[in-house]
Amino acid sequence: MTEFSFSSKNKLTLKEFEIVNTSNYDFSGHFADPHKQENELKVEIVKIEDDGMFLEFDMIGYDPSVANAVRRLLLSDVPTMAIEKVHIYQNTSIMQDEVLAHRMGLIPLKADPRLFKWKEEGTEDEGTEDDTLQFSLQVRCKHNPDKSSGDPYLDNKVFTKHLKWIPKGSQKDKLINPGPVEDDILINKLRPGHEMDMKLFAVKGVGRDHAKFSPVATAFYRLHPEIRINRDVFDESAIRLVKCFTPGVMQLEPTEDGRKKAKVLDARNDMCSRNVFRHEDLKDAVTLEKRKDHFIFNVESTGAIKSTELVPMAIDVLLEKCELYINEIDSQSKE
Amino acid sequence: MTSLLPPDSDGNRLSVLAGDKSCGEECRTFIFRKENHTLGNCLRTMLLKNPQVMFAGYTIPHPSEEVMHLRIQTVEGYPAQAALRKAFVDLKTHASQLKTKFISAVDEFEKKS
Repeated sequence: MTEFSFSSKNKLTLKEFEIVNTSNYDFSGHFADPHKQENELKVEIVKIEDDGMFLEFDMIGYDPSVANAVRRLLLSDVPTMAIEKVHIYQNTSIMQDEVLAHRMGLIPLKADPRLFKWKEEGTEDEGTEDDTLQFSLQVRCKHNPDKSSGDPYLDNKVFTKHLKWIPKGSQKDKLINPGPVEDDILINKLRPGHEMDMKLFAVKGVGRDHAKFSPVATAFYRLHPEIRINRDVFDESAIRLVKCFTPGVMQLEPTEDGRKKAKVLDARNDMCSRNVFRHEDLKDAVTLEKRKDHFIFNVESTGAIKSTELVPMAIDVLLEKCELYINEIDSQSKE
Repeated sequence: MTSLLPPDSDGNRLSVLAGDKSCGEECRTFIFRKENHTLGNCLRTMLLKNPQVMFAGYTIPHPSEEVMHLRIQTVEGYPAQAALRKAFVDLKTHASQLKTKFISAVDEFEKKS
């Protein structure tokens, strides 16, 4: 017999073979929350690491469509600079021209896309100082004349530190070091006699066009798990129950009569493996749920823009789209 | 400040599907160019919160084409286009509030540490 409780309206339940109550009550005429009170909607920052490049934050009370929109915007609609055109003057290395050019495009650049204009289609590759960043890569591998050192070759590994920025016009006054985010990304390997000589042009683009333009390493969210203990579990069974969950989620606490009882410490870090269903005697001891309106976001930037700035940029894209369509509706209704 | 959206010179991004004359102003299918679930699902949610909207749904006819169709049916006397405009305005307000909350949450976090 299934129990129905109004308090679990906003929780989905993880059962052994199915997940129930996943759908939102979004059909017309359902006014449980016509417009959620503003104070019920919360955003809380949990962690900022790696000089602002890694961010963990919570969105509580929001509709999944908005949370998903933020995630999708972060991945595909926030612009970035990346190398688009590669002029190869010399490439005698083993790597084919097109493979090498593809790799150059994937190198993350520190340049701030907000300082650049969009490059118009059909204009020449060289571009202007407002819309293009130019780099040059010139490496030649030689034998190492110093026989005593361990390396038999000089410059046999081509790293991103070999990329040189060629400032255009007034760029040298406005930009500081728009090169690659990391200096030690391996681009190519050479042997004596191999030479690479290329000019690279970086422009502004969005992830929708090509994944190289995505500003996030990734951005994802998960729902906040909840574990409810239905009946107390002691001693040996408790040890097994605690082991079913991610470490740190459940713990054993001593009771007055010297036994050990299983207790939920913090369900947030649980990875929802549903391991408990492998134990016949522990299946009914817990109920595994997730809060449908509590989103735990993880945003990791590639290095151009801090994650704490990326999220407002993503929302700005959504606001610009709304503005664009409101203007179109208004101008169309005037006709 | 340059626009965050890439330039688009192919004319209007929003148009109306023909053939809804029989039910008047109250039902329309809107065609969005270069839009997908990001905007579609958000708009649908905002539309369904409007008590004067009887039906709201969106679909992407084919994944190879970047086109989204949004169907709105409203009560008598309330044009579907008005419902759409209201949904955009509501979404704009909602998103602005979210942005403000996020920025103040970041400030609070940085003050604490």
